[in-house]
Amino acid sequence: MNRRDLLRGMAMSAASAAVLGAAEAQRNVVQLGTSPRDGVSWQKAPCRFCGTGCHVQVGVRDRRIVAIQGDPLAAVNRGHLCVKGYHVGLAPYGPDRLTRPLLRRNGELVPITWDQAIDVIADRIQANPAGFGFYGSGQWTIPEGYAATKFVKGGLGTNNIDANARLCMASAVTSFIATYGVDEPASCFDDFERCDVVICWGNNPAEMHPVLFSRFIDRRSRGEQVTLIDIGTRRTRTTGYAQHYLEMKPHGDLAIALGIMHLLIREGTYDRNFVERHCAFRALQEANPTLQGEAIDFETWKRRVEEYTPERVQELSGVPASEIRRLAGLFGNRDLRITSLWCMGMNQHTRGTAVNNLVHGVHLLSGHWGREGDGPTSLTGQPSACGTVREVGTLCHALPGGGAVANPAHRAAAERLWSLPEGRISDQIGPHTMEMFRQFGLRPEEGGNIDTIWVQVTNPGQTIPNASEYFDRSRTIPGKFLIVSDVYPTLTTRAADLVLPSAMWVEKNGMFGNSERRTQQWFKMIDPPGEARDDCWQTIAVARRLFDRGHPGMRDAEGRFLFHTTDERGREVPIWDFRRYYDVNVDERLFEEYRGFTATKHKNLAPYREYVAARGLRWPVVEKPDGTWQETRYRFVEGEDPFVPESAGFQFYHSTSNDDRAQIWFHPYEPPPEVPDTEYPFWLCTGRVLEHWHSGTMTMRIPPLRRAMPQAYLELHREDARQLGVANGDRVRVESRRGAIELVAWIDGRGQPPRGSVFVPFFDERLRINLVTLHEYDPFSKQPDYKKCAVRLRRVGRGAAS
Amino acid sequence: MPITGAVILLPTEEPARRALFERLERDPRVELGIEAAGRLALVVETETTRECTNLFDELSALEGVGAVLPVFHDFSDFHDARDAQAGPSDARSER
Repeated sequence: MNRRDLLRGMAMSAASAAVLGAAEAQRNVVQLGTSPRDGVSWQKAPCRFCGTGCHVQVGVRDRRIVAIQGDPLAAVNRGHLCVKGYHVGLAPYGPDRLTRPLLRRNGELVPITWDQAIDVIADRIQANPAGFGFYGSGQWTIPEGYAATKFVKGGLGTNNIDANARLCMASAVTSFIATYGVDEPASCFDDFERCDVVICWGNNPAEMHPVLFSRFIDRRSRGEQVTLIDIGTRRTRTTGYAQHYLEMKPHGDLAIALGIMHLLIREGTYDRNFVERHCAFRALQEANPTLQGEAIDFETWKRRVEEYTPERVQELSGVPASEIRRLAGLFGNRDLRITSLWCMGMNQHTRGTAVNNLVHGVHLLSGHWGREGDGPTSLTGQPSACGTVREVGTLCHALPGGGAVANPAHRAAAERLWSLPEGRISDQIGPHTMEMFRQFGLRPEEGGNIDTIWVQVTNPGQTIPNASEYFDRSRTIPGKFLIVSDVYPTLTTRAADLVLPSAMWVEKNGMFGNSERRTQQWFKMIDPPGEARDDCWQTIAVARRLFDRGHPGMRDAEGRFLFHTTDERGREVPIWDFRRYYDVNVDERLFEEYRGFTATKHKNLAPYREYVAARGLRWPVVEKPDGTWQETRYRFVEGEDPFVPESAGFQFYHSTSNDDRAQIWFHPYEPPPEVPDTEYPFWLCTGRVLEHWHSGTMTMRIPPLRRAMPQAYLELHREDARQLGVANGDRVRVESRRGAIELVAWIDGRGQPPRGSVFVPFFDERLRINLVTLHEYDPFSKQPDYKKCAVRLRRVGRGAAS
Repeated sequence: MPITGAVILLPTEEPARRALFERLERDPRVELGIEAAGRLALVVETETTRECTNLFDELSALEGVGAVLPVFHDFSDFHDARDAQAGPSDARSER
């Protein structure tokens, strides 16, 4: 058999395993990962891209990735991949990897040594510790994010750290906390196998989470009946699979949820038993609106939803009253199992917390909660927005394991676990992303207290809204210093004062946590190029440099280095020296330390070794009497969640009302902060596309993906185009009150916005739509709204659609 | 030439299934495998990865096809081509 025959055989074996399911997969995996085939060694890793958390088998030969196979043993994807996962093995091989530290001197980025780079960072921190901000990402691995949190909160004694997940799912976080008293979805992806109805709330999983979406489509291929209802502001690929498309006005989702609740009450079809046993009611206090809100009784709550009749909701949302009745009818039928899905559409919303709360409330009120296939499920866009950002304390208010810096008991526990002197951790919540960058763009005398930001694993130069104000402005102010760790040149590295080359994905050890609480692990498989190094090492090296210079924060209560690490014989391992970094498994050490935090909020994790063996485990993971470790599919549900006692049925044991009840909130409909007018008559919505992941840093360097979707574009309605004199391929200027760019028009393209509305993807750094978007954000989550602002359009000329 | 394994989520309606199989069987780049539970295994060998994803796009757009999901991708040719472009002395220098 020649090599190509062998490869064809392997490809067919993988496809057969995916068709036949677990039994065949089990046979297949014995071959995979245990012995090299054709000189190729195979190891498992989660995909580098979205929050679905597909597992892949990575084939390595001669220290290069040569093949990718969907992992047939992974419950998330069962061997399947999307077009990005199919190409993920090419992500490290763009032609322009960053390979040396670069420092800006006389306007130019010039190579320096790592030692010099670490000194520069230490100098900046020592000069003004309170002015230093760390800005990370939902692509940080769990140990990387944990190390950054410990460095800033336990070492520097500030809370000046936040992450780009602030821009993508912070509203989901605040809503989970407001509803259940603790963050993260209670349900999981198993819902896709059992639901009768899927409702997508401003969500396009057919493009953004295609493998997850295929689990539902797969059921249809087997002849099962599953109803898909797509609620959105434009037709997308998901719409093509939907039986019902409900086109809403921007912010119409608030009204739709209120309308369903109104009808459930009016028709008496809400789940009285579930509500009486397990729910309480809540609303914002007018004088002092906080995330805690105030308790209200059921009668008061009912009076507040009274005005949201189907007809009133039709006025507010644009969705016909008959469709509101249809939705309420579905929720009123408890024989059905209903899964609600959402992602950026509900989170990037100036009332994101409110609309998240209301959708949870619809499910709680109707009793469509806690059964397989029957509940609200938020999705995330990044591979570890959940596992890292939300869990290890990288948000400016948080501590690892769901703790809060404002809570004295949580601070004390963290100081104990980190062996810190009492009082080291600050009780002052740090600046959230938008505030951090606002301050970075102001002079000190204007209140610009942040003078140094270290960015790791993200690209704010492209992704911060109203970018000229919130990003570019800082680059014109003397004394502001931007440090960026990344793998490829980006808009952010090009604007930086110091650039650090990073290792990516399987060039280092790592752990991610996906959207269903699944913690995943992988080992380093290939070397990073040139002098690129692990982000986690970079953080530890800076901490050590500060330690060596006598910074008191880098010592624990016993005078040891904050990241003190020993070998099996108890001797200190100098992990700050990159040559020694892999002498021990730093990921394992950090993870085992982090585990100590996770029991407080019942987010228990298994030992590191369990994740080495598994394709991810969903927390809480608890040890059974026989010594094995058991994951949890559904939280707060008897028989599923190990912390719910027998006979409880459901128990919301972190209830904010301290009575084991979930909160059904009332929030009124509120219009968007900026709406089209005569000067700026169009809505602008921004988002992602199937081929590119976020700001395109990796996927635009994968030739087939770049060729498939080479540049950003402007989607607009045919009739609007006609009135503007715009033809397909014409160049159009898109302008808001904040900025303007020119884009190529795409009429009747992949997505179809309604009249008066346009869409632009944000992956293309050459066409930075975030110069145009709005910086307004949700008052609780501080998450900005990228989905709606007012723009005007002008045809510029015939385009050179390249 | 990249080699790809994939799974097609098949149409439930017989005419659409027939049309899909006819399309696949006349394509010399495609080798069909087992079919079970509404899914079909196949292997595709194309000149380029792009050609393969174009084929998947085309198949996905056929009446009733639920999805075309890749499961295996060998792209060792990518490195061979890059090495050839870089020349023998440069091929490994960047690692």
